[in-house]
Formats: sequence, structure tokens, C-alpha cells
Amino acid sequence: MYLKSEALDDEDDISSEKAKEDLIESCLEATPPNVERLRQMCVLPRGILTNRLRKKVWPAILGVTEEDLSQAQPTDEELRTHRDYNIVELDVQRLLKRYPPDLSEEERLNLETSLKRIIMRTIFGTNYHYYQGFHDIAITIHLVLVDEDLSVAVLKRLCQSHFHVFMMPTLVETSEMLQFIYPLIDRCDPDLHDFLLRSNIGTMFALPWLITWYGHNIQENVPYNLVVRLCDLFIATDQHMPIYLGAAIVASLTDQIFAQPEDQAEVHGFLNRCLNTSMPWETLINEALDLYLQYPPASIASEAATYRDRPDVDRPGKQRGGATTSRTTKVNKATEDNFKWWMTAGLVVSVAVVVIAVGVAKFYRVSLPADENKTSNS
Amino acid sequence: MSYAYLFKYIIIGDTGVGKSCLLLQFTDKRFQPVHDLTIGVEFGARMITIAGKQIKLQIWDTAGQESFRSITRSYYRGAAGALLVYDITRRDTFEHLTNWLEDARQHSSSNMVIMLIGNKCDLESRREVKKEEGEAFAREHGMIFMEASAKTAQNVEEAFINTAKEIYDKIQEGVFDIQNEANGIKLGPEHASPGVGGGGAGARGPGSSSQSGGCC
Repeated sequence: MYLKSEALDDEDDISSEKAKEDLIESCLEATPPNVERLRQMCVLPRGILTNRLRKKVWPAILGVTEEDLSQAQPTDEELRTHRDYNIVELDVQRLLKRYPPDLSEEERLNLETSLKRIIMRTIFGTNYHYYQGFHDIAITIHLVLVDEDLSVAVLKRLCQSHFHVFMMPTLVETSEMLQFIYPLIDRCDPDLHDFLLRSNIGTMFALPWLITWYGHNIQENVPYNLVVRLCDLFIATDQHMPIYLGAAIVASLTDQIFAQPEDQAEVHGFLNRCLNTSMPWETLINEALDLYLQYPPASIASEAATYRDRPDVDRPGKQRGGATTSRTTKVNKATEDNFKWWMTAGLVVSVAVVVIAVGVAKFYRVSLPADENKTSNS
Repeated sequence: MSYAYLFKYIIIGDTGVGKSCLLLQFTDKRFQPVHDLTIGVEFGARMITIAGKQIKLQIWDTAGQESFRSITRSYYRGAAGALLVYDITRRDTFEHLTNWLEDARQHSSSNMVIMLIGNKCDLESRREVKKEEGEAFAREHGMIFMEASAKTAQNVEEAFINTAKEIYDKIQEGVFDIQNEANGIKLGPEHASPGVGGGGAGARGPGSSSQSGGCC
């Protein structure tokens, strides 16, 4: 399993950017490519480093094949008949701030057309429903990969592995998935957890974080160094990882959150605006990974299901017996003892992966897309 | 800043009709030609004065895509006012009003004041919905109606403030239980007692639930 500490055995290999680049190149050149090692590179600090490498690493990790790239394309006429065509057309026109700023009018229109075609080709002939926010993902992926066919192939793979829950007819299942954030915040800081529950903010603040992989919330000029670095992390890990990162972010803002009035609008507003590029993102990623290793999705699924996203109704409060838990986060404790953790966690995660696969699939009752069975990861 | 009352609003309607632009024009007095999509819910706030009383409007702006409705409608219940918005240049957004209205009525307090807004009335040449159609729909369903433009700011103040006046009137009439925050009304810190007095400026009688306003 890629989250274990193999990479740390020869940590010197990636001590410099050049050394890490060479290591990534050698993983790509291997036959077959060393995908597990590439996943480790995605997770470790600074991720895949450059977009030149990402163009090769992302498809390799997702198992994109030559066959994927040579699949017959639906015509523009066919794409226009799709139920989601109109909304996609409207949405790509509203992505202006995420386009490179120096584009000419003609280039901008070409990019819009290209993006629209990429999104439509990704969902055409499947059961996936386009959701608002998928276009944020698509622009991020496309600006890195550039090639239209490759962007479609990568997005199709990601729909199968990561976005299928968001692409159902409603976001009810997505909302249930978001509830995972509360048990995680509880593990980090029980007082913060209780404060957020009393504020009745529900989970909506984290919705764009999850379904756009933070692309919607992080205001960043092209090139999106941070947004694509987060893509490295999310592509290489489980679909729940954005929630673990969200919990780590919220926990890191404890003092600022406590400074807010205990009020739904104030706290929601604060969390809606809190992300920026100067946050300690690599530390937050590390804490998210620690949280994942300590509390994998299967271990908190049933607890998460007890939360309901109803901002107007008090949730059943959890009884806390005995001494109040210290505000010191369990994440920080784990981080302090990081190396030992990575070593032992490998074993735990190997077992957990099987449990997650079965448990999560059951939990979400995910309906697979029509073309799911035709493709297989190589 | 202290206030006598806080009114909670929601803004609902199809994607791209200008919900967030109306809110931005009302709270910041500016217009963004290409506004970011709203994913989930966002909120804005502004203080207004009605009958000499400071009222804080807390406005929740919701995502317009159908699939989001299952999760945004939980915000309806705690709202005292709703702005239901369509785009006068896109007929389909008008045709979906019935769905929105049913949804809002089903999931909100029965006293919620709903204002119907035909937005983008500056785009006369692209108009697909007649003003009379909006008026008729509002009359039929007991709503206040206005055409407005988030771009020119026409009727934007009026839309938000008239809704507040209607809510204020209902408080005066004792229709709203202001002790129950689930109705979307909260007494401000400066309110010494729950009783309210004095008539609201511009208040209308209970019989005039439908009104067409504006000059679009």
C-alpha cells in the first residue's frame, strides 16, 4: 500500500527536487510503470513537482490505456442532445477567473469550447450526471494535461474512482459523505466539534472543498501550483481524502473559529472564506494523511451516519463522560511520532483497504456507470 | 452593530438567473458581469431601516442546479422571506417556477413571505417572458412581484426591502411567533421586550398580498 513508509527507507532519494524528479522519471520508465511508487511521490511533500511530470504521472496512476485514448468520439451534434449540455455551456462561460489571464478573446473562446467538449465527452454515454463544480475539476485537469483526449480519459477514470458519488441525480449521498468530517473534527478537538454543532453550520461549508477538490475556493492565479499539488494528493488516494484534509484545515483554525460568534451564518461565512495559498498546506496534508491512517473511512462510517445535515434542527448531542478531552489534537501527537506511525500504519492500512472497499461500497450503495465494466485498470 | 430584528432570507431559482448578482448588488452595490457559481450555499448581510427600526437581513444564496436542491432545501425552513428569481430572457427559468414554489412552500414555514423577481429586465431586446406573465403568476400564487436588474440596480433595493416590510407587517399583526427562531426572525439585542409597536412605514394591509412594482 502506497501510504506506508517505503519511501522513507531511502528518503535521501527525494531530498532535492532534482533527485525526486529523477526518481519519478525512473518510475515512469519502468515496465510496467511503478505506480505504487508514483503514488508515494504524490503524497509526499510537494507532490509531483511539475506539470511536465504530471502529464505522465496522473494517467499512469489512473491506468489510462492507449485504448482509452483511441475510443470513438461522439460528434458535437450528439453531445448537444445530452440533457446536461445547456448547463455545461452556461457554466464554462462563468469560469473566467480560472482561465489564464493573458488569453486573447479567440483563445478564450477556443478554451471554452474545448472544455465544454471535454466535460460532455466524459459524461456522454454514461449514467453520470454533471454537477456544478465538475467544471472546476475539468479546467484544472485540462490546463495541466493540455491534450483533449488525454483530459477526457483521465476525467473518465476519476469519475469511476473518485467522483461517482457526486454524479448521482441528487447530492444526498454526497451530503452523507460530508458527514465524515464531524467524527474527524471530534477526534482532533472535541470542543471545536461541539462548537460547530452548536453553531448549526451543518456540512455545507465543506461541499465545494470536496466536489471541486478545493479549486473553487482557493483564489490562485494560473499556474495553479497549489490546486494541482492537491490534485496529486487526491488522485493518489481514496475518494474521502478531501474530507480528511478539510478536517485538518478546520482543526488548524480552531482559535479563529472560537473567535466567531456561535452563529450559523458567521461560522459558515468564516469557513467559506478561510482558504488561501499562504496556509501551511504541506503540514495540513500531512495531518490529513495521519488522520486517514488513524481513522480510515470504514472505522468512522457508522458514526458519520448519525450526523444529519440539518442546519435548522439541533442534532443529538453526544454525551461526554469523564474528564474533558484535552484541546491538544491527536493529529499533532501523531505527527510528532510520524516516522513510527508510517511504519506501523502500513500494516493497518493494508487490512483497512479491504474493509474500506467493501464497507464504503455498501454504505453508499453506489450505482456504477454503464461503461464501468468495459474498462479495467492496467 | 445592534438591531431590533434579524430577518433570514433565502434566494432560490434556476442556475444563472442572477441570484448571487442580486445579492451582491444589494449588499455591496456593485455588479459582476461574470459571477462565480454558487456551490452549496453562501450568505450576505445588510442592515436596513423600517419604521425607524434597524433590521438586519441575513440572506442565504443557494445553488441553482436541480441536484443541489436536495441539500439546500434544509435552509428553507428557518427563513422568514424568500426571493424566487427567474430570468426574463430565458423562458425555461420562468416555467420552472412552479417547481421551486412547491418546494419552498413544502419545506418552509407557512408564513414565509415570497417575492417573485423577474431579473435582467435591462435586457429588453432578449425578453422571452412578458411582465404581465410574471404579474399573473405572482397574483395566482399570492406573491409580491417585481422585475429587477442586478446590473443597473433597478428595483434591487425595493425587492429586498419590500419583502422585509411585508415580514414586519406580519410581525405587527402577530402572525409570526417572534420567540421562535425557526420562523427566521430573531429579536435583536436592543429589543427590550418582545412586544412591537407602531405601524411600519409603507406597510400594506393583509389583503394586498400581490403587488406589481417597478418600472421595467
